[in-house]
Amino acid sequence: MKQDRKSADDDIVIDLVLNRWQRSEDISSCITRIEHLPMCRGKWAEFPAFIHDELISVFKKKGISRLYSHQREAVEAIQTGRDVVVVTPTASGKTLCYNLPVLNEKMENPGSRYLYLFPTKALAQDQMVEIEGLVGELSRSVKVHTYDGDTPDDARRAIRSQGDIVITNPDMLHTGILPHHTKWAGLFQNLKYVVIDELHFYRGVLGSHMANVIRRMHRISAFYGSEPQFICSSATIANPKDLAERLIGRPVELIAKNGAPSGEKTFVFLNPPIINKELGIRGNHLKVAERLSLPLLRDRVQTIVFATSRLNVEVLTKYLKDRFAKRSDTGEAIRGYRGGYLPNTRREIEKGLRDGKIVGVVSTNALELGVDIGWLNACIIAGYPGTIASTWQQAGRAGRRSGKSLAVFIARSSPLDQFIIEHPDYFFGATPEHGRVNPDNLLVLLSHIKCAAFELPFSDGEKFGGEDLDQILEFLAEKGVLHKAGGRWHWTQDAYPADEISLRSISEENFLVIDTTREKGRPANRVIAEVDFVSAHTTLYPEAVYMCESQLYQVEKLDYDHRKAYVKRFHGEHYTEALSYTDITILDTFETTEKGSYGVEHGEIKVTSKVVGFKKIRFHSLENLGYGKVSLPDQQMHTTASWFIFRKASIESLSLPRWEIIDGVLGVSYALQAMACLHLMCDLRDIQRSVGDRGARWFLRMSREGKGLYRSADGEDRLSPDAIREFEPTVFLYESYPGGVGFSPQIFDDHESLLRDTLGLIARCPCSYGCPSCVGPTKEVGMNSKEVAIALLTHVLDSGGDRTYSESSGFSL
Amino acid sequence: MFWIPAGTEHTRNHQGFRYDRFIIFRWNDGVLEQNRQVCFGLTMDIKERLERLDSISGRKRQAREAIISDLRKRLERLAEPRRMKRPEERPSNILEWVEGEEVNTPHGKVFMSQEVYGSGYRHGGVLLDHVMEIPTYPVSLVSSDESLIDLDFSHTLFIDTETTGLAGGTGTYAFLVGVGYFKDSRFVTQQLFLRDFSEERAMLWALEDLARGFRFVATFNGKRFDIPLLETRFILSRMENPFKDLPNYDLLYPSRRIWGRAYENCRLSTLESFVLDIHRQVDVPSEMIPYLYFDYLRRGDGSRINRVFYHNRMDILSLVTLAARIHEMVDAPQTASRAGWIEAYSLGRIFSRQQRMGEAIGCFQDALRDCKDGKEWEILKSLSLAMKREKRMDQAVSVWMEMISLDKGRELFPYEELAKFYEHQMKDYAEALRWVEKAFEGMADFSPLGWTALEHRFHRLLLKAKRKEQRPG
Repeated sequence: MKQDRKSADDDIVIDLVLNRWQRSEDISSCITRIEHLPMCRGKWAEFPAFIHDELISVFKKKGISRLYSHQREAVEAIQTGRDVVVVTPTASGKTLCYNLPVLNEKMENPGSRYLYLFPTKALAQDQMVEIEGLVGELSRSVKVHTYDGDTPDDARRAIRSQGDIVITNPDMLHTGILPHHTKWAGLFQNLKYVVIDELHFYRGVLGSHMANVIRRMHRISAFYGSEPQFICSSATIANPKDLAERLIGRPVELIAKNGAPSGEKTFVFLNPPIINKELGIRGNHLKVAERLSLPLLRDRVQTIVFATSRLNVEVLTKYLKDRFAKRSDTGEAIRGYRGGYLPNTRREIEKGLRDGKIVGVVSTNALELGVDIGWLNACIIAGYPGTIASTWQQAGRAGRRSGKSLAVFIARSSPLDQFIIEHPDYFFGATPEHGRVNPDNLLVLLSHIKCAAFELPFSDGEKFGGEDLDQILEFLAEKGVLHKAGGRWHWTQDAYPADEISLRSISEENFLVIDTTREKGRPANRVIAEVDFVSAHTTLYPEAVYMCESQLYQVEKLDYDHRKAYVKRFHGEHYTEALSYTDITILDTFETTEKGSYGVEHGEIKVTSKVVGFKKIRFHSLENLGYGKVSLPDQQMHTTASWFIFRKASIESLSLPRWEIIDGVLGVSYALQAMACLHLMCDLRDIQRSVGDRGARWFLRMSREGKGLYRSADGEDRLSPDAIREFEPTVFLYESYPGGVGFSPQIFDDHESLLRDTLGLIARCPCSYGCPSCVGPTKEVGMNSKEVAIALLTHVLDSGGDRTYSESSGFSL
Repeated sequence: MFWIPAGTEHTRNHQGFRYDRFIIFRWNDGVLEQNRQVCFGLTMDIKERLERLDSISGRKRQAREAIISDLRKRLERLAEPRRMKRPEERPSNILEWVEGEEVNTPHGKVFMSQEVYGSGYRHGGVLLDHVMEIPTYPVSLVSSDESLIDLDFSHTLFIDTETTGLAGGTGTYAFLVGVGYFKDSRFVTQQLFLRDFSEERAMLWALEDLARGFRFVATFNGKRFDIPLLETRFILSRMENPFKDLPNYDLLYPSRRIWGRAYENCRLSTLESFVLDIHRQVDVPSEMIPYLYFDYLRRGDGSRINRVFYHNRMDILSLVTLAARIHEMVDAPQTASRAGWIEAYSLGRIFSRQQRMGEAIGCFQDALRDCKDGKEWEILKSLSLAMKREKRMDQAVSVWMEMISLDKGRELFPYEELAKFYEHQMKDYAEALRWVEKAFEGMADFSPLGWTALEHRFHRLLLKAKRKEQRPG
């Protein structure tokens, strides 16, 4: 009851705050849209007749006497033996869609067993608690267990032989269960349903791995003579059915008509004001987020703020904590949350949010998933999360219950953010992104073929994935990994392949961050965080300011070989941002198209990136306090890319100084990257860019002597002014994961509409000379970049383009 | 999404790579859609692409190659004395190096090598034909497994496997399974060998056939390794596992109880050299065994794998010797020859755990006689407790006194025991208090453990002493 009164109070605060914003001149002038999402009434249905009475009464005891329409639809489809994917928003009772059929089947068929897969351990724990609450009421005993890295050894045997419902994660399935399937024979023989929750999480690289783990599970199940049915549930994405089908490799029935009620929500779009019109610079989104969350936090309205990077999370948490430092009741109630925090810290924060002790949390997208943090009332999204689906997921963190809730989206200056904030209709009208996977990415596929061969020898004629399995097996045999005998390919290594492949990222070891600060009552050399291999290069170089739980640390020593960074508490006024170089080498060209004025190619490249230095940035004022040098080993990656070559003839016809052309191309690359991400509906981090020449021998980059075209290998060899005449500027758009996930062929296919949309974006931008919302900051791209970019794109599209093609554009500007 | 070749001709791109033309089909809401035709370097250069991907983790690969090339060298050095040309026929080749025969099974043939050790054969000082006379009851003292109670060496199959790795999991094969058993007065070893993986079902069939009639298996670390691994192999071949319900006498556990404290580890090879006095002539380090087998598979050359047969046979014989050794020691702790005081001490602990205090005291006394300086404390402690349990209090008291007179190993223990003795047995509270006070005197040198209990005792004793004084008065 107390909860209700609190809820009513929060409703009033939210109304008051909104009212104040609308009346305040400087806030209301920044609002580009206030969208009221009305309350939704639920659609109900009775329990189907085939559900056991005992089970119905258990659900009734829990306060569920009827089903939502989509729940009934799902339960009926499952009953007929079909694989299903249920798509509904958060808090629409999706867990019932699998728990009900599972428990009903268990009563029907007591020997049957079930596997639940959740993307994280925390979600598995949540689900364990929920399902135990149901099972405890049943007369029949149903053993429910989580099985993950934390499961004690002595419990494992019992779970393997007796667990009716085993709740685990894909990583454990991959390293712990499938390679030891004989110990799980009982489970696989009787496996009836496999539940995959948070299906939308399995996109990109993780999804590509996941599809292969499931391919392996199909092989193992078939070996034991079972063919489990799949029950998947997903947040709203554009292609849940397609994604589910690619992940499980079979046709799937889609259940998407939500029957659950939802509370009233106000969604505010806010674009920080332009501070410098010439440079097109807008107010800092973190500062705005700080300002907007203050009144909410002051009145103890539980608020979550999503920031776009780990660094931003730490910076914003520090800002807010500073604000509330004098108020002991609120100061402790504001926390940061991100990957890299130790599990215990995370569990403590989650619990604090559930029981209301924590009022405000600043998080990366780590809290976007269904981690149980209870129902919050307000959500501030500081920076576009990259996809429409994520934005809705994040906004859904506020207002799961019936009361009012508030969501605010604050745009950054980037083209993608600006596009969304200036086109709210696009956002509210468009379907969210596609979950894309490429299970046949050769690197991913190869890894899983090794694992699969370890689990069961491949037989001649067997199929696995979309590439030619025989060729891959022969390759592995040549490498001594497999040995063929009697038509079967056997594993011949003293190694355990699943251990060498991590589903989550490139399988290099994490770096440990060790705090060496000496202090009474605290152990010296405390591990405070873990950082993945790639991020370590940009966050843990010597002298870097590392932030964790909004405490500042400075890296004193980086032990690269042992993957350890020694840090000490730091009381300075600045933080650091890494500066890195990227070199590209073309390895193979798969496709080429020539339009005369420009050409587009698609192929495989080698990317070498190296962190060479860092900037020191003062807190709050954000002024640049100087540079430092860094020397770290470079990182290499083979991936796929598409590149746009602007031909010499068309450049010459523009009769502009060569340097201005190159600035223009740099501006084009900036806008093109954003448009490609929007078009492919992928995260900005999935596609990266670089400007160089056609043969990838020279690259555009900044150095101490200013911007120039430099040789790939090191930064000193500069292209002479004469040679610039022969230079054909080329924009490389490449994928961030080794081997690529399938974005670059798409860019190649749609190159023309992409260029047109890029031209539209730049031409329609209200700035004078270019700004972070179109060609990038003038400080980086020069004062004429915008003008040249428009001229160049207009020229190449007019002289080389095929006009009819532009209709294929996914959206028009 | 799947690919369909759109044309049969291959094209070459400007770099000379061949590529094929394809059409992409994909399912969209149950309807098959055709996307436009694309080219993709796919079939022709897959190997090249694989090679390239493979080179990504260059650092790791280099490290690995270094290991492998080092290993290659070591492998080649091993084979140096009698290197042979690569033979033509793989299956026959093993016969040139290992004596054996092909066994017929319903699943095909499998290679088996058999050795018979007649009466008078000694391994590690133990006469194999005497093993049958060694009593089996000690098993109940050294193992808590009740299914071993009627252990009988004539119905025990000694097993040891050589595998393609130590990682476990379904991809680890047992390529050589050796068993040994007593037949009449002789000991027979039979080794089943996979000349190739295709013979696995035949091997498992032969193994099941061999195991028939045996009521026990004896292994070294077989509970965790060999037997579960064989179980996995039987499941994968969809065959019945004959070892599933056979009691497993895993000698690792008794060995740990007896020698665990004595040497750096409790591996069979360590026990062989320190305890059993076995020194192998031509052996291979166990960590190289998988590589020797992979090398055999790829090159078909049996000249190195024969060492693995030898290694496995020695392991089986050592199993028998080890079992004999353990049983003799437990059966006649006073007369059995011993490798050192630790054995006596461990035996004493085994006996005292079984409440056989008489034997325990004897063992502890033996241990005390032979032990090295500085180790007396632990032995005296165990000895005194055994004496106390036997109600040989005078002896126990003198041991505690002896402990106090020792400089080393200062601990509350003897003081506390003496205080207890005088308090509870003798009801001499003054004397008990005297020992507690003595303990307090040495307080600074003792470990902090147990002080609170001692303080309690002190106050209780004070009270009791006072009452006793008052009562007669």
